[in-house]
Amino acid sequence: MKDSKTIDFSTVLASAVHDMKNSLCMLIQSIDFLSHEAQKRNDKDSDELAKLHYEASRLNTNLMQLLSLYRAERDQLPLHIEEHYLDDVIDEIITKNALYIENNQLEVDTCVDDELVWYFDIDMISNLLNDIFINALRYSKGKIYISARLNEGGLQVIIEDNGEGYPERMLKIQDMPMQDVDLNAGRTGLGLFFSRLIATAHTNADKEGKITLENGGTLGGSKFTLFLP
Amino acid sequence: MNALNRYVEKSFLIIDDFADYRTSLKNILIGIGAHHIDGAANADAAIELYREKKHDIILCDYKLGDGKDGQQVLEELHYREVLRNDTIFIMVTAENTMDMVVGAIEFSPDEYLTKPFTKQTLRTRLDKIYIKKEVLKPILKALNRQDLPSAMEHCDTLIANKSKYSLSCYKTKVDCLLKLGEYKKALSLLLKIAKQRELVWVLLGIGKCYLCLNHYEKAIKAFQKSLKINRFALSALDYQAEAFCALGEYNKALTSINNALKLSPKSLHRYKTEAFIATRLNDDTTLLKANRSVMSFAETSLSVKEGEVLSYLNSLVKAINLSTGTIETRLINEFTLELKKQLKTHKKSPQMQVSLNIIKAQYLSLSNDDIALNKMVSDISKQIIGLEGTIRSYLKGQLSYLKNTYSDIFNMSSVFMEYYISLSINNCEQYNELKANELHNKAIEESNTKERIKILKTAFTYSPHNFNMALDYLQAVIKAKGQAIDLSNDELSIFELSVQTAKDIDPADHRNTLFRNYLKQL
Repeated sequence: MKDSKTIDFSTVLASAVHDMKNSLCMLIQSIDFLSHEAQKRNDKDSDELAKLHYEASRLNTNLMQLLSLYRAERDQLPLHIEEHYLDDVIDEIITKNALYIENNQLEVDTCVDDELVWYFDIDMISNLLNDIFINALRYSKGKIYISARLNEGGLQVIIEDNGEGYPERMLKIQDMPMQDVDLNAGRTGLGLFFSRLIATAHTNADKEGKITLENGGTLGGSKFTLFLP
Repeated sequence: MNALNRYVEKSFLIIDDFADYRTSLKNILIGIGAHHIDGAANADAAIELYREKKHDIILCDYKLGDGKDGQQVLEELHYREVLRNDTIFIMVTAENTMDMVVGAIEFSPDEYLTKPFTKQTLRTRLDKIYIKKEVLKPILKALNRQDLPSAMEHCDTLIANKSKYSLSCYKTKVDCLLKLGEYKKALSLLLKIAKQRELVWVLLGIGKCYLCLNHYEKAIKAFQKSLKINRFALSALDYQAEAFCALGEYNKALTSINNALKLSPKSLHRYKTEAFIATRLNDDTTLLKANRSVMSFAETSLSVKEGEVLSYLNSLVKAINLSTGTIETRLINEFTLELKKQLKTHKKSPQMQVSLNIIKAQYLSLSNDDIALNKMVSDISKQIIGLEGTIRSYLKGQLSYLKNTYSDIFNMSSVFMEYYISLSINNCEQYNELKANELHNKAIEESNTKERIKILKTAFTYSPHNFNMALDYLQAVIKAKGQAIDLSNDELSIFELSVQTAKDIDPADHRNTLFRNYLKQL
C-alpha cells in the first residue's frame, strides 16, 4: 500500500506549473494591454510597465525552462522538428520585446535572408533565442545584432551586443555540468544550461547542436552562437 | 484588402473554459481591431455557436476541462461537415507537449500558438496565415471541391516555383495521394523528402504507405524510427498496433495500443482496437476493461452502437463466470443494471430484444436455474421466428458468439441452428494472419475480377479485421458490379463483413475517404 505521506513530485510539479503558467499568462497579457494604453497616452507609467512586462516574461521563460529540464531528465522531452523560416522566428522575438526595446531606445539590427529555412523545434528554439535576446537587451549598451546563416553543414544563429561582454566565470562554465555551477553568482547558469540542453537535443545524422559564448564579435560585447545540424 | 484593418471585418470565436482568459483574449483581439468576437466555455457550446455564425477565425484552447478537448472540437466540426474551408483554426496550448497526431490534413489546426502570447505575436501569426492561405487558395479551392488531382497540380506549380510553402504543398500532395489510395506514388514522394530530412511526419507517412501496401514489417520499422525521434507520435503507435495485428503478433499490438492510451485516453477507436486485441489474446480482463471504456467514452460523445453494447454485456457475463465473492456480486449488479437499461432503451427494436435476451440466457446458464433458462430459450425462439426485414450484423454476431461460446445453449433449440443456417453467417473464427497476407498479396496480382474476389474472400476469412483486405474486397466488388458479375451468397456475406470492418476505420485515417468513395459507388 502506497505511503500516503509520500508526495509524487511529478504530479505536484505538473499541476503547480500549470497553475502558475495560467496566472502568468493573464499577468503578461494584462501588462501588455496596460502598456499599450499607457503608451497611447504618452504616460510615464509606460516605463514602469515595460519593466513589469520584462520581468514577467523572464518568469515565464524560467518556468518553461524548469519544466523542460524536468522532462528532459525523465526522458520525456519531445522535440517537434519541422521546417521553419528564420526571418519569421527572429521577427517574432523582436516583436515580443518591442516594448522594452522602445522604452530603452535600443537599436536592433538583423541579417537574415528571407529564404533561409532550417529544421528545429520552434517552441524550444524560440524560447532559447528569446532568453538570450532578453539578456542581450539588459546588458547591451544600446546596440544588438542578430544574424543567421548556413555554415559548416548547419544553421548558425548569432546574437551580439555592445555591452561589457560575458564575465569570465560564464565563459568558463559553458561546458561545465550543471551541478558544478555556482548559483549564487549573479547571472546564473540556468538559462545557459537550458540552451545547451535544447541545442544538443537537436541532432541530425551523427551531429549534435551546440552553443558557444564568446566576447568581442562585431559589436565588441557578448557574442552568443547557436549551431543546429 | 488593407492589411492594417483586416481584422475589423473578421469574426472570431474564442473557446476556453477559463472565463478570465476569454476576457483577456477578447481584449487582445479588440487591440488588433476586431469587433465581432464570441466566446464559448466548452466544446458543445462552441460547436453550436460556430454552426450558427461560421466564424472566420477560431482560437481554441487545447485543454477544455472535463469534456472534449480542442482536437476533438476540430474533429467534430469536421465530421458534422460544418467547418468552412477558409475558417482559420488556431490551437492554443499552454505548453509544447502536443501529442503528435498525423492524420488527414483537415484534422490538423492551421497553427499552434503557445500561451502566453502578446497582441503583436497574435497579429503577426494571423497575418502570416492569411498570406499563406492567399498563396494556397487554388489548392484549397480544389480540395473544397474534392478535386484531388487538381489540388495536386496546383501543389506541383508552387513547388516548381520554389514557393516558400513548398513543404506544405508536399504535405498536401502526400495527403491527396493517400486519400486516392496511390500508396506507391506517396511512398516515392516521401522517400525523396526523407533524403533531405527525416522529419517525423515524413517517417510516419512512409510507415503508413508500407502499412497500406501490406508490407507490415517495413511499416513497423518506419514507425519505430519515428518513435525514436518522438516518443509521443500517437499515430505511429496506433498504426504500429495495426501492423502487429496484421502479423498476428497481438502481444506487441497490445503494448503499442497501451502506450497510445497512456498518452491519449480519449479515443473510442483506440479502445475498440484494444477490445479486438484482447479478444484475440483471450484476455478477458483486458476485454472487459476495454469494453467498459468504449461504453463510457461513447456515452459522452456520440451514441453507442448496438454491437458495442452487446460486446460489453457478453464480457460481463464471462467475467461473472470467472469471479467469486464481492467482485462477483459487484459484476452481477453492473450486469443487471446495464441489461435492464438496454432492454428499455431498445424496447422498440425486436432484433436488439432477441440479442439482449440471448445474453440473458447466457447469464442464466451460470446459475442452476434450468427452468428459467428453458423458458428464456423458448421465448427467444418464438421471437426469432417473428423477426422480419434485413437482419442486422449485430444479431448475426451475437448468434455466432452463442454458437461458439455457449454451444450448450445453442443446441437447446433447433430454431437457433435453422436460423443460423438461413442467415448464411460466415464463421470467421479460424484466424491465420500469415496465410491471409499470403493470399492477399496473391489477390493483388490477380487481374481476373471473379478470381480476385474468390481469393480475397478466403483471405478475409483468415483475418476478418484487416482494413486493407476489407477495402480491397470492396474495390473488387465494385469492379464486379461494373462487369455485371454476380456474387454468390457467400461472397455477399463477406461483402457485408468487409463493410462492417471498414466502418471501424478511424475517421482521421486517409483510408476513410477511400471507404466513403467506395460506398458511393456501391
